[in-house]
Amino acid sequence: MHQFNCPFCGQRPETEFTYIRAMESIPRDIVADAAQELERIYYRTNSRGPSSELWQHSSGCRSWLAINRDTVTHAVLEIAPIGPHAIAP
Amino acid sequence: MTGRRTSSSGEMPSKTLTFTFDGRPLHGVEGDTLASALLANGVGLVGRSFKYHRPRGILTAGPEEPNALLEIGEGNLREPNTRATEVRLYDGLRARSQNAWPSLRRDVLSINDIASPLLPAGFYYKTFLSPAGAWPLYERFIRRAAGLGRPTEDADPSDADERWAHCDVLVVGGGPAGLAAARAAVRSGLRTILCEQDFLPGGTLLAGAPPIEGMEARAWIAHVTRELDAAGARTLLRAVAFGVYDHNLVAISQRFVEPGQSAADGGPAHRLWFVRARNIIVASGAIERPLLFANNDRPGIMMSSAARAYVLRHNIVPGRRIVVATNNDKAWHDAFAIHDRGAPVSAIVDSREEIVSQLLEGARSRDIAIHANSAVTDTKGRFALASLAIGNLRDGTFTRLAADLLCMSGGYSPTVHLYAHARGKVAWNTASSMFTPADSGLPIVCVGAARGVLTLGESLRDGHDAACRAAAAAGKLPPPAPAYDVSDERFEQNGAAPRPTTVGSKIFVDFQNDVTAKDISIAAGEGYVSAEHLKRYTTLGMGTDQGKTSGVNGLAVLAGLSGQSISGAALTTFRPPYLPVSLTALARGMIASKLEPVRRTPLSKLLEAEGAEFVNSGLWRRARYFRSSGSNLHAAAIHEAKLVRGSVGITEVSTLAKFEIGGQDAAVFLDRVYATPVSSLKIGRARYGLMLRDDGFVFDDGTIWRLEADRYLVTGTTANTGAVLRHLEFCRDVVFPDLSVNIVDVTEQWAGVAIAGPQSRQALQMIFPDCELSDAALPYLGLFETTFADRGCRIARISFSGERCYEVYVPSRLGAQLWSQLRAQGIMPYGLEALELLRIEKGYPGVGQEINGRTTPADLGITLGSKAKAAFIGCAGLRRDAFAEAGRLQLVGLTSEDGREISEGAVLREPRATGASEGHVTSAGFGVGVGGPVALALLKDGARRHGEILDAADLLRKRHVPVRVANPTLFDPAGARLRG
Repeated sequence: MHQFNCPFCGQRPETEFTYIRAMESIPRDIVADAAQELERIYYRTNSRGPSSELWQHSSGCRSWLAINRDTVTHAVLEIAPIGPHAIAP
Repeated sequence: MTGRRTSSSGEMPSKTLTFTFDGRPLHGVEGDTLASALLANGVGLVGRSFKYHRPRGILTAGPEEPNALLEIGEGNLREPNTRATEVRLYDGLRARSQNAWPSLRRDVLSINDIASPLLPAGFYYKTFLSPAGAWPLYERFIRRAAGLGRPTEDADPSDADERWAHCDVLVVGGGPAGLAAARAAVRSGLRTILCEQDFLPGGTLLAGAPPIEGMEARAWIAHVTRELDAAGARTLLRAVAFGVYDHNLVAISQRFVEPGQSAADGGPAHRLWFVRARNIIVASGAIERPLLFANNDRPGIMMSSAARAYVLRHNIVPGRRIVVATNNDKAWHDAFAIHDRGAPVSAIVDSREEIVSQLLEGARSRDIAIHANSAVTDTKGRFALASLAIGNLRDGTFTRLAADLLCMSGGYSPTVHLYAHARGKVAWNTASSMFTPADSGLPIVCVGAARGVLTLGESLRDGHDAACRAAAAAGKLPPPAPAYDVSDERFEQNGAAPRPTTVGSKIFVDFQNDVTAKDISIAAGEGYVSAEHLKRYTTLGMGTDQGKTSGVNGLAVLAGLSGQSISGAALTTFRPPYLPVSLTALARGMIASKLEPVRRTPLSKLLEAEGAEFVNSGLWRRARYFRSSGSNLHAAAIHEAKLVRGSVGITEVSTLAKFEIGGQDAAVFLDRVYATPVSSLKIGRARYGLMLRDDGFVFDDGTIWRLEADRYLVTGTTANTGAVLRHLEFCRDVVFPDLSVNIVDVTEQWAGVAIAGPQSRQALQMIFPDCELSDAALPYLGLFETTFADRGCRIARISFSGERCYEVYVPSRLGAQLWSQLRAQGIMPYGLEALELLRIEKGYPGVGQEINGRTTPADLGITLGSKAKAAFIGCAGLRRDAFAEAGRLQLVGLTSEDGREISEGAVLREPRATGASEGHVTSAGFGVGVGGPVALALLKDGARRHGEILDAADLLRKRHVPVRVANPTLFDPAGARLRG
């Protein structure tokens, strides 16, 4: 069970967080082109190794966190808040 | 078997305990394990092996025990497959042997031993194949023969709880290396936890050791544990660290009572610890390897370190004629130690040619015969060892020796499991014939025997050094090393990995699963040459002991067969748990009513008093039906549904997701989030809202109310509340961060009651006599705000039943008052089940049934109207070509042609067809408006097949019901009752 260092709350266990989706698959606006949308939704890099993921600290401060996590070793390489309430670490 | 207790060595006599084994009353002493007590009573035969039902005795003195699996306790406290070596003896313990019938001595299935040529590894892949129809018969027989212990079928009355702990250093294992590590850790000022699986700390020190720091071994253990306690370190006994997980999380299962005992004062029997440690020091020791010769599994054959533990720790002499067979120096020291304590060793058999002169001297001075360059090849003695055959490896001659106890040692394998869980790498060390941990740069290290250090002095220093390194890394000052110069039993080298000393079919490698060297050669012959294949084909290492005494031996045999060295082989992956953990311990008390938190609605208590039967809707407890409505669920639901269609009924709708969306961009935001139009909604009006995922599939449905120009209330399905809130926050924060929007979850702030039926307006008027409720003032989908008991109240004319309906929302605290006032007017309640029946015949899709994550708005028959060309979440996903193709599952209604119930989940096919289905039934029930069984279904091209007769096939219950396909709105398709 991972431990994540939430920028607002400190070291907290994985159970307080919810994995949302891969960062690369986040919609940044509503796109009209179907082919482009389906690319974004279904074609994923799915790396073996460092992987950029969107998590939410759902049982804590509910902030959105971009976590760069190694999918093999589970090491947390980087963790940064995103969204309008993000403060520069 | 001729075990007896040695005379007490001047210590205080221990308290006597009584226990039974297979009904026979026996005595032991405080401090005994069940295994040592059995041996002290001369009980050598303790079970029958898994497959061949061979007589088996106690092989080891630790949790790696593969043979002595007993059933402990009775009734609801009975624990099967319990290793006798791990059970602390207590007064009144009841133990039974397993896998033998009618008795241990006269076991019917011991015929398997004779039939063994027919039952080699993998025999079940090649047998019981024909005739195919006879499988049910074979299966019945196989099930009776398979398995070992019998679990109890009663609920476990024991309690269990959980604790979290954080520390700087967790030391796993309280033997010499672990104690030295823990002591150095506390002296450095590190927060330390020590856990030990035994009920006493000390590990191998308990089986006799030279003095440490001038103290006798037991005194040294006491000295160190006192220091740990005084320094505030936490020491957990009877605690097994069974797994290491991400980021140095260790799971430890601790027991407070022995198997078969109930916790005295109602405290927990088990405690699960979750320890997050900055550093983990694994001092878990090493496991001795059996030797490989024919019939190496008889009662009376045990590991030499086990014999040492029984003699020196438990004061037992387990035999009269003791022979030690080995390939390493350590076993010679064990032989001398037990001999000097009164267990007479008659001979030592060593397969090596060159033996250190001090050892030869030691044997001669004790009158122990030496057989160098020799190995045991076979044994005799059905229920107990009687004699052995020794082969001279140089000249090929054989000698026969009488013996009733054979202590064997094939060297040691470090217990690296926890290190491997943490992704630590191990590699075969050819010089020392062991898999040892390779430095992996992880915050977990092995020390002592777990790292391959087998001498005492070095182990102590190793543990000390590891703790010092952790201290230094934490910026603490490491303490100086104590005087760990121990006059050690010198131990030149570990024993080489054993190879079979003979050919034959009864050379056991895995004792628990009855895997022999011959099985390994069969596997190799059939091409299963990797360790992973070998394991699964032969089942080597797959028993409850997980190959602790057989892993390396199996690889050695395989390597020998293919002429390669073990160093190329890789151990199979170690996974938690290291030792079996009871489900009770893992449940940590979160069972029955404590399984999940229960969310009660504002009306729960009241509804309970009114005789509601509840159902879990997610975590919510909601009223399913009212007992006064009928004698069972089916009858009550129909009665309540008829009530709603006939006059009026009330139901609680408090649990619906409710969010207030406000701000200058609220309308724009909702237009983008919903597939249905929002910004065109007038103030004081509500509308159906459909929310899609970005791939175009329907995610949730609910309603949208416009309260003010820039203030909306949106509702959603109860079960989706969390997901919808997350989705709304995600859209606000990540997708559209430049929109100015506020979202407030008001689900729990409002209690809601729906008043539904042709007389609902009259009912509502009774509670709100001063409100204008005419259809002109409050049309269908209208809403207004008023007061109830001087507090703000909202009333919306929305319906989920297809009848005229008013949903009244009051502050939660006033919900009960609202309900009571309605009930006082004689208005009757209805529950979720009735609501289901009402919705089905109206064709309203339900989340989890028709909205199943694979249906689009078009599939559900919903057109987007003015939004068809607009930009909203999911709009592009909707445009994919596949959604326009024929053959999509579309929502249809079904009526029963013969009046019989339609099964939910039934497969739809052409009448009398077999094979592929054309769709399935998603919701079914009795339609009180239609007057017969109805259903909703998803059917291929369903929209164009109205009028067809199909077969709704319930393949599980073998029911076939002819159904007619129709428009999903089976009842009142024009919606007159809604608006009327």
